[in-house]
Amino acid sequence: MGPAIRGDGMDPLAEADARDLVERVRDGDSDAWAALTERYVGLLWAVARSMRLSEADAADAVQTTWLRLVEALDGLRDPARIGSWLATTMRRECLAVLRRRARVVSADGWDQVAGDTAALDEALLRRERDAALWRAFKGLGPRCQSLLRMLMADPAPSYAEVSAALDMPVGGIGPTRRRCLDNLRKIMLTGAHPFEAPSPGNV
Amino acid sequence: MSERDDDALMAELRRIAAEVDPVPPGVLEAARAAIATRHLDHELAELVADSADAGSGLLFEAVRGPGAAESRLLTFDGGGVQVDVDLEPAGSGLRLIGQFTGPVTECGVERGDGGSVEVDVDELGRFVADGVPPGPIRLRYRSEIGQLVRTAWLVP
Repeated sequence: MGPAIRGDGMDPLAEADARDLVERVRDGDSDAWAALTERYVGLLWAVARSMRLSEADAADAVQTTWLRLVEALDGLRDPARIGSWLATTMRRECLAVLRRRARVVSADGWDQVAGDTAALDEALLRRERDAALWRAFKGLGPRCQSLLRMLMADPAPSYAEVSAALDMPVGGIGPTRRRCLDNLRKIMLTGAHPFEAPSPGNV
Repeated sequence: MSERDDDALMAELRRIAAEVDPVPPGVLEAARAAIATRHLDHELAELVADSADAGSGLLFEAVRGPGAAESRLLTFDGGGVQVDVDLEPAGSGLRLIGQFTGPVTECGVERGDGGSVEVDVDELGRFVADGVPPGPIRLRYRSEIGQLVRTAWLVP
């Protein structure tokens, strides 16, 4: 993992940077806005994909989250924690999308929309080990896929941000990550059922 | 496996994700443009009801049943005026039918890139906007006493 994190999942250096960026954006510095969006767009994208939104829905949810940030900019109480604020707001947007989709698309239809794109992804991965790893990742249960996809955000998210995005206690992230990575290794070793869809509730 | 092995595996996964599921360039471009929606001259009209949010503590129940599922009703409140917005699919786009509860002197639909389209409001406070693009939008209006108001963003 990248950042040195405290017990509460925060990274003091990143916090100072974040506070500085937000203050500059408030003052109308457009370079600071570009830096802020660049810094956190990967986090927002990972939240959406971790919650299995389609690309189009993910794009709308990310944009809505930026717009809500612009709207809330001057009222933000804790600019140092902008990452967690963004993760929480993004989670809410994703849940709203999923609720709206549930009203107009049947459960089966949704699975088709958000479902397994493993074959497509693999065409992009020329290296054999990469393809095998990604296949193994797609073979994990939904909870592990969700957490690991979140942790794949670039740059690596703090545990506080992951906690906000997945509505999961900070203390549970490390142990769950370890267990999910162990599961991933097991699938890699046994080469088990690469094309089997993950069964519900299987972690 | 050690913490270091875990970190290395995680880094590998992060690299692969960047290859198979990268942030689309358009998403970052749109994010940059979002700052153009910043204004310091208005009051915010809050969302007080959304038919798409059943059980979330807002006022409406979800509209259910065949046909009804495609229409969505939202209510915003700000600047001493309420506005009801009905969203329905029309052709390839979206039609927005609105009703103000009090007098307003101007009204527009704003997009997430800072662009906007003016909308005519009739003497009864009603308006229609056709061809609303996909993605987040909000309404801008001016109340009778001249207060500029913008609604919270809504995603059709």
